[in-house]
Amino acid sequence: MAEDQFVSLKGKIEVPYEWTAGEAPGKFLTALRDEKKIIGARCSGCGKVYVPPQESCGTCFDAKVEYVEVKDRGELVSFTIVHKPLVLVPRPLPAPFALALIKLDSADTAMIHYLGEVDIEKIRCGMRVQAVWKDEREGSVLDILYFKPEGDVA
Amino acid sequence: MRKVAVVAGTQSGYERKNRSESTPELIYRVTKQVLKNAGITRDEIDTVVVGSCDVMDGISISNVYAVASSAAFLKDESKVEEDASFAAFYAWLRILSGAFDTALVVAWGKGSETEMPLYTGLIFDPLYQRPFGLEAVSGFALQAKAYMEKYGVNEEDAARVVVKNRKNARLNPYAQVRKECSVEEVLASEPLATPLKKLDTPPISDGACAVILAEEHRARELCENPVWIKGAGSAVDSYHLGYRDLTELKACALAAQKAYEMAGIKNPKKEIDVAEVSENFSFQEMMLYEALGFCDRGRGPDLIRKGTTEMNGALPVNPSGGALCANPTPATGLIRLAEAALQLSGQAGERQVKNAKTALVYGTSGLCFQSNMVFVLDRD
Repeated sequence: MAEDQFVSLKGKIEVPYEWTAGEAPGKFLTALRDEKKIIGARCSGCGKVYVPPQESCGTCFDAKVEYVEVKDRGELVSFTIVHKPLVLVPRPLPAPFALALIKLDSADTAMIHYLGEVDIEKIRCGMRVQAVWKDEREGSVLDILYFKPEGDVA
Repeated sequence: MRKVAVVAGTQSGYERKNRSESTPELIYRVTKQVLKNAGITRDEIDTVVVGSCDVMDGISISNVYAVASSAAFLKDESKVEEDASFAAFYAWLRILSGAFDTALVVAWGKGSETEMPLYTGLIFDPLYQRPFGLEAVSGFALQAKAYMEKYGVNEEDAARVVVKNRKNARLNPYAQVRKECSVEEVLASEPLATPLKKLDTPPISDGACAVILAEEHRARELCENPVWIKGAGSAVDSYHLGYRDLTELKACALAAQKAYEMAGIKNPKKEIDVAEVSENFSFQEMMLYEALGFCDRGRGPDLIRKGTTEMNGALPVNPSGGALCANPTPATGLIRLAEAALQLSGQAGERQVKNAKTALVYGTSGLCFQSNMVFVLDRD
């Protein structure tokens, strides 16, 4: 190959999207925005409560789901302290920060969220946490700022 | 049912950044080589199934870009847009159908040409999960932590997996990471997302792999010692990480059960001589031992502590060095198949496991082992 031969073409693809929320994410995101409430999908077949909600139950399939409110508090199923964020996000946090799988009370699944107001050395699986809500909400999972260690147990 | 064999395979060799070959040129090199290894011409290939990834290639339906180089011109050709172990599965089914006698499977990935965390981040849905910046490392970290917590697994156990795979990769001329390391070096490597550190994670790789499958009659013509696909099974788990018990790998266990039933394997720990698995991350290889039935739940770390899965152990896992030593997504699972076939045909060179007769192959797509593909191979 000649020393000055053309080697590579640099480029970037920017593609706009508009993702339809539909019923399940639509109800979930609306309740976050308007009521500071967390909605799950309860399968009328097996009774399993999916949070965040989806339109159907993988197991029961034909059974309808109904939308139910779950508590905005629960416990940590797992977590990771992110020292090196690899992807840009709408609301970047300074590293290190904690990402967690949180099983809310009366839900059967866990949802992803940030942890905040917490000493990252003291985070433990099974720890009780509660949502901290944003004042100005827009219909996004980030309408919850993060979950913090549970204080005043309601 | 027809018998189908892996009659030839080849690999490009893997590197962090290949700027001397375009993607079609890379594909052309392995396709030419695998045809040469099989001793056949392009005309003798009935169908081509490719494994590639549009987002990584930056081209929609990117297989159409590779028609000439993958020997598919004017032939039956299709692709899977996930791990290429599934491409091998589809090729196998095509031959089983009786519609085709020979199939070429070719897969490629050039991780260096894009930003892999952006690609793995796009696996997460935009409404619920993507706003948190999850990608492969932080996603698998959540799984690793849950596993540690449930069974008291520690970071040293995971580091031993890295040490083992890197030691094996030294004997694999195709591997990208061929430098041994110590447990201490893994533990001291850069923290990314706890408990995962830099050396617990796979490299970003450029490379390609190709295999040729053939039905029994053709296989015996082409090959003195064909490597037979004795069983195969696949299963897919829930999409959302929080919907699954991440420690359980339920769908992986189901895929293995299907493959074992078809292959007549009753005790995988005793009957499998060598396994090539897409472990992706250090902790995850131990989780696979459990889901694939090599040990009981929670006992994966015992196998690594006792050396059972080392080259000279009772059940060597990843003599190639596995995905921790080369990971040209989405070709990784097809590499496992090519490596297992080398083992059974006695052509694995310095990384040969002695007297290997039955091999397990595991490939996966999605986050934290959502999609699972298991093959059992054997020889006459």
